[in-house]
Amino acid sequence: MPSFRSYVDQDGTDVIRQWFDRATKQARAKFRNKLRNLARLPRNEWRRPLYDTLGEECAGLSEIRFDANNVPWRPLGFFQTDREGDDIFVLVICASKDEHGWIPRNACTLGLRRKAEILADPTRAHDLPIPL
Amino acid sequence: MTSQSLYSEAFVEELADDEEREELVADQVRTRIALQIRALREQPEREWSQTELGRQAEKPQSVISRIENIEAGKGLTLQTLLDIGAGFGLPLLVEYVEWEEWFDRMYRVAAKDLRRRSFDLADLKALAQENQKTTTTDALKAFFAGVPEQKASPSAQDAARPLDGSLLPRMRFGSDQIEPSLRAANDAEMPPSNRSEDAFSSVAGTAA
Repeated sequence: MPSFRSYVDQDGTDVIRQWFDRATKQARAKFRNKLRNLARLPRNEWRRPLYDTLGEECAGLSEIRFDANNVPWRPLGFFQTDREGDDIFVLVICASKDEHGWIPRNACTLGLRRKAEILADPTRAHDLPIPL
Repeated sequence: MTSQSLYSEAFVEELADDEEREELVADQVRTRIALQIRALREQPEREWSQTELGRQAEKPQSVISRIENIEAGKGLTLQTLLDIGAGFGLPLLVEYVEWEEWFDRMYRVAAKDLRRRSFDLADLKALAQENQKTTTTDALKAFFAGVPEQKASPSAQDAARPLDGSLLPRMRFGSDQIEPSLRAANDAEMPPSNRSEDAFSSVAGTAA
């Protein structure tokens, strides 16, 4: 079953944990619960309504899907494989959506840049510090 | 790696907050229902579309779609779940459980763990027959577990000896075994011929 890692910025801040600590209780509960379910699903069962792969400006990223307090949250990330061949989903940004598109507006660009950083330097991601 | 255990200590600690815990439970109930309905629909024996399930459950396809989309399934009623169960030919189980059981069962969400067989009379009859055989065998095993080991070739004297009390449980039917208040209540309901003095002395007399 897949496990989770998260992006760490140049200051050593885990951006996913930072989002989690500032999120509403409903968003925290749903975020943890979606990841908890996905962690127990084989990768071929990662699909809607919990997950989806993205195209166009976000091609190369996937999203985890949940709504909390009427906000459609879309944590973005990508799959990697570890040395044992196990799947790891690396979270790079907790974006959301409104009627005009992504919040932040550059969520895809930012996510893809972070993905490139991690691919170039694996220490820019570590095990997700949120218990599932 | 992030822990994959059913519920780590750190995970449980984060459930201390009432609101977060209630949100998590509600979300997981909806999530598991959504995933199970889809898993049942896509089960190899069925391979139903949402429209086909809607037809079987006498619901519009849009209702099935809303339930399978977790976030849209908030108005789900027990009756709708029963109707969908009937469409699949499956019973519904709704109950409150202990937390550890909830964690253990609710996060078994892979399709293989959510598939179920539709009602099949012949299959259930075969299971009932098997169950009856097992129950009888278990009862005999339990009974003979207390029996002293018998000689392989009993002598004629042994064979002629009647069963003694060590092999059979003693049963008493005397009226002194019945709690007085229960006996009085029972008597009030019974015609005189069935009252305890008559009935129990009669059985006790037969047993003696």
